[in-house]
Amino acid sequence: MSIRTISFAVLVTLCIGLFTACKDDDEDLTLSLRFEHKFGAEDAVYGNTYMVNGTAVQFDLGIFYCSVFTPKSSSGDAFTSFTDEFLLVRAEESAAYEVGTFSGGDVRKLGFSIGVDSEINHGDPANWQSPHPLASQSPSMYWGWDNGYIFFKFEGRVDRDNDGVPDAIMLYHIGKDQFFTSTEIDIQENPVDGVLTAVVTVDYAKLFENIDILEDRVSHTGDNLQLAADLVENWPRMFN
Amino acid sequence: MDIPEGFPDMPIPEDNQLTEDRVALGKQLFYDMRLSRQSDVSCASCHLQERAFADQNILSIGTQERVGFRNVPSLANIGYHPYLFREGGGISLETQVLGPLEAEDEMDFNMVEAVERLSQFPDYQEQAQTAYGRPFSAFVLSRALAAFQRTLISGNSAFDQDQRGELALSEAAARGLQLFTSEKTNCQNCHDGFDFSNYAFENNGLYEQYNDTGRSRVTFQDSDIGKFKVPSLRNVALTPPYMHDGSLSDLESVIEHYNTGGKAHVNKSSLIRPLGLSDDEKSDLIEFLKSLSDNCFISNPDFAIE
Repeated sequence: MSIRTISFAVLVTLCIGLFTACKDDDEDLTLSLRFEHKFGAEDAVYGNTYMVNGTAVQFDLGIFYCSVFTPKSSSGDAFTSFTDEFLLVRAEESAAYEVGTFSGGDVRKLGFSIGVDSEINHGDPANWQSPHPLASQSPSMYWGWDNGYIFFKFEGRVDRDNDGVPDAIMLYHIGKDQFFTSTEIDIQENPVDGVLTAVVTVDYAKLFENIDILEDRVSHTGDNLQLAADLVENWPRMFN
Repeated sequence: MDIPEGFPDMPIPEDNQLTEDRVALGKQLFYDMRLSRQSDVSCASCHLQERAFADQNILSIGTQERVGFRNVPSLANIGYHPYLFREGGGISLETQVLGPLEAEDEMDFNMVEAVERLSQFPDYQEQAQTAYGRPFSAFVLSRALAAFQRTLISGNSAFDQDQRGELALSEAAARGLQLFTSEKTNCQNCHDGFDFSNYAFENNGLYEQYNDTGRSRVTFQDSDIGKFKVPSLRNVALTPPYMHDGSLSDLESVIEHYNTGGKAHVNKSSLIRPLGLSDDEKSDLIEFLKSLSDNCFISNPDFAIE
């Protein structure tokens, strides 16, 4: 075998190795998110009652916007960022949400934001056609008197008189630009047939950390700004 | 749309240029009670043409007689306002529609449900296609209502006719105008321009403590507590009671409020101070304010439903 032939064989082997490696790293992946809604270890179901720090809380509504999805490697390098995709996550829905397709590799982290950026926030829902998440919703996710999206809604009742019956209204409607919040979670799942379905656990019990739920029961954001800020501080803890 | 002499061009969004079809659809919606959950109130229930599209109540009365927390503002020349509502949280007439539609003490409805309801009516579907080239939707509903409201232009009062040389103001009203523009009252510092408003947010010393904090509801700034959008004075004699909460019943009370300089508040405008007006001067000012009533506007059949 001539040196020329050996060199050619080595080159071909290298190329095959190189192309194979590229294929692994740059495989088109579809990012999909499936949200699991919890109250601690229990599934979060509308109408059910859960114990939060010894107090009974009835869960009636959980809806929030997510946006700016950024799949990342274990070292935190972003493969891409989906800045034009928006999800309106409803606690009563268990379907997976498809975010988009990207040329990626081993996704081990996912960055995303709760809410929408300021440009979108002050747009007009009527410019989006139903069923787009930014279109008008029922229940409404947009303030008509102070135009902007409601990023996060939690509604329920709390047992204020300790008789075991949640009867006092809890209502947290949080929005406004300053509460557009980023977070990051670890991804355990691996792609199957080109689809990476990341399971995002949302634990509503964590929304109430350091919150006096017997007293601080209502915030439409502006009418109880401190409570809104305290709730927003807990948002990243809710997701994993 | 006829723009009165001395009025600027109205800013109109690219996607909602005025056409007869759009305005006609908007007018029909404006008077349609099915826009409220209980089908018992329409936009026109609070915005009465004979009251320059305000009403006579201290506070707004919504669906099922629910009492709101604000006095109903006039819609005259509303298309010129750079922002809507007394605290300025509405960014356009199109998005403003959601405010009364979804407020529990107004129409208590929801845009999705309203569209579902009205989409059932073939005439609305037909008009939506004609006006906007698409099925009836939130886009159509909000834009048509905004289009109609932009036509609510008032610029033919005795004052306007005087300015055009068509009719002279009464002597009392003319004296009132002089006072209005004088440094003695400084009225014109805020109630300026063709619409008698600079659309700024001001605290006029109505209270020492504000239950309704006004502009700060939007900005969260203490420096905005008690500030409200300066209202237009056009048709002001037709729109009692006055102030954001309807707490002053007549023009005499309003003039007296400004004459005394209002109550102390850290955010009160420096222009609000005792004026030392005589009874005759107060009377002249009121005569001038009455000259801003536009009878053509409140009787224009184009704004009424048959």
